Amino acid sequence: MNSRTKKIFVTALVFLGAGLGLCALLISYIHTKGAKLEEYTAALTEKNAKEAAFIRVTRLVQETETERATLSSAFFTDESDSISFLGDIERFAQNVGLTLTTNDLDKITATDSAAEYITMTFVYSGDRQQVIGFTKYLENIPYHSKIDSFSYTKAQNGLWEGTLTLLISLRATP
Amino acid sequence: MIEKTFIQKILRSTLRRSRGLTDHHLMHPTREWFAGLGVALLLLIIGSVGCVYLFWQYNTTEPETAAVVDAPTTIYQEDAVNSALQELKARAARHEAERQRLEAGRTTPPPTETEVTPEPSPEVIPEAATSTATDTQPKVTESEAIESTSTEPGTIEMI
Repeated sequence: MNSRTKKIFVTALVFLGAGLGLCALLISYIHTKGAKLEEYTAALTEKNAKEAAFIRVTRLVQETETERATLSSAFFTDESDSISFLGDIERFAQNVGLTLTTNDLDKITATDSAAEYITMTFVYSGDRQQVIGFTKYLENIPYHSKIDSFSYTKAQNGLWEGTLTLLISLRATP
Repeated sequence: MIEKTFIQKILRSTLRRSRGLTDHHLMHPTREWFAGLGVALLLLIIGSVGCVYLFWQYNTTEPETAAVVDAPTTIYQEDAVNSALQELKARAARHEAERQRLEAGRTTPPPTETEVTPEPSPEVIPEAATSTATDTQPKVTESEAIESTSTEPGTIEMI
């Protein structure tokens, strides 16, 4: 092997090495760009999905505004609502000739859930029909409520006395 | 008889590398040229396969399957809402009916000063109370003390 041949051989080897190195570099670059492309595609897909969900929820909120307002009005917002409610009840009882006292007013939390209630105990007296009618009146108040306990007894003066404990749900805070 | 040395001689002559005609040329230009062409062709084929694979890999990356989308889902329980609304409406109707019934059958005039309607005359009140009482006779037992628990309206689940 003369010196010219050796030079050609070495030059060929150098070119081969440079070519392979460049090839490896380009492949690595393509892989890096490909990984970024996948990340961008995933982010874009997620954004599109969230945007679609947002549009769906916005439309749902607009469409159900009336229903939600009606349902919302069936709950006490806070304890202060019970004050005006008690005022209305007491005025109405007085208006129809019943003697009514509110014995208890408290806020309780259900043991099996996080639901909160305003509990109030009414003692009212009048003739029998009035007591029963007023009990039905309280039973059907347009709130999310339930009667926890109820009893009525005949008093000495011929009047009847009802004792009713009413639970009205407090609206859950979001 | 075959002796041991004879066998060893045969083996040695068999296993000995046949030198044949020795080639005294170190370089074979034609052979090296074709060998170089073959290596270049092999590299070209490998490179082409790699390129096709890369193209296929990124060409089949679909946006829908690129990632598991965790978009928030909102469930509107329309049946429950409608049921609750109906229940509330029915309660409101019953409540209003009871209110009117009680007002019609009141025994004493309302003491509020803001009352707009004229107060009924005392003579009329007992009659009204009596007639109302018969109309709205509740179906309750005559026991002097009754313990009762009402039913709770349907659970309202809000969004």
